[in-house]
Amino acid sequence: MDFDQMLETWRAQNTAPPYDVNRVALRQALQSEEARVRGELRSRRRGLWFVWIFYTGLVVWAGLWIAITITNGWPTIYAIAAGVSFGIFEFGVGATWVSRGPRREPPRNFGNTLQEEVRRNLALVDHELSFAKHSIIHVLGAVSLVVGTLLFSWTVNRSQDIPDSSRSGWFIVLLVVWIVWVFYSVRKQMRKAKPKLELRKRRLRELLASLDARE
Amino acid sequence: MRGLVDAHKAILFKVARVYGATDSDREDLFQEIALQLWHSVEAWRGDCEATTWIYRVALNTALAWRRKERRHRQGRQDIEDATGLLVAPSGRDPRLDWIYQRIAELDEGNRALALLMLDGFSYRDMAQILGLSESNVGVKINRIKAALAAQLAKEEHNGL
Repeated sequence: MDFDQMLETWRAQNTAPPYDVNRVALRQALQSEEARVRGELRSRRRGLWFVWIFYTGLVVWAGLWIAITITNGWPTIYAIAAGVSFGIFEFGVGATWVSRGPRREPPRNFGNTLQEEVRRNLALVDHELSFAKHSIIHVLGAVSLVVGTLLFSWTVNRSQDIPDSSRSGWFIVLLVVWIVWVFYSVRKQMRKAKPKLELRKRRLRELLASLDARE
Repeated sequence: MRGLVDAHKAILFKVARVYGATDSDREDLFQEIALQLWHSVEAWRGDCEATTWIYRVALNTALAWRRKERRHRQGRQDIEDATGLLVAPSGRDPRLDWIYQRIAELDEGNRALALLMLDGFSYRDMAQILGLSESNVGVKINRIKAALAAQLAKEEHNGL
């Protein structure tokens, strides 16, 4: 090879790219990313199911308490307070149900080509984004649990002549602080997560376009 | 912007190949350069050729990236070497690998000059891209050419 041939060889790169996508490594990276996200979704769903069952138990308990209050002829204020608690717990049940995000899991069976692996990852990103959209409902569900429990415990204590604890004022303050903390931390988390998800979605779309262009 | 990068993707590949030691480094560097081009596209006023501007951004990014990587790599093993997303396609001209190997043997500043020389840039353009004087570029290019010619002569015996 002389100098001119060297230049010719070098410039041939401009028509034939010197690098291509490492399909094996890309497939592994996509599969491990998919497994990670699916694992996170599973544990999140398990947590939400647990919360949903807990809320449903509270709804049943509040409903029973209303019946007991009416049957025993206790003051109407207790029945009203138990009814409000019942409503709040019902809201919690609904909020938890909605905050699960789309009911259907992102599809698994697009196929096994590299493009289909990318599409599966894209579907997961969309799923995560839709979950992020429902985060505020999730926060409201947590808040309703605290408010409903406070009101319901007040009703039960009063109807059973159990004196309020001297520390209950501080307890309420702590709960309010906790509500505010949950609200802000979830908002902050979502604000951070959304741009990352959008960026991942854009990159996956670009990757898909470049893979399609190579076919 | 995307069209501009796509049209000159070969430049990004070349710079990433020359300054990245492993496939994963090249992948990182390629993305870094594409990102820098994206950020600096508004600063480009069209006062020079698109290739000149892309080379300027790509080489500056690569040199800065090398400095940053050297700091990061202290005490770190290259465990991610196998996970790079870019790979040389099979059936590539082995003479191209030989050229890249020779460029890799140069110091970082001369690698940039070798890239620009091979892509046919004038001394004036090279000086503009790298912030050197034209006479300095001339001296360095002559040395690089002499070194490459010597290597070519040596390799001719090996049937390259």
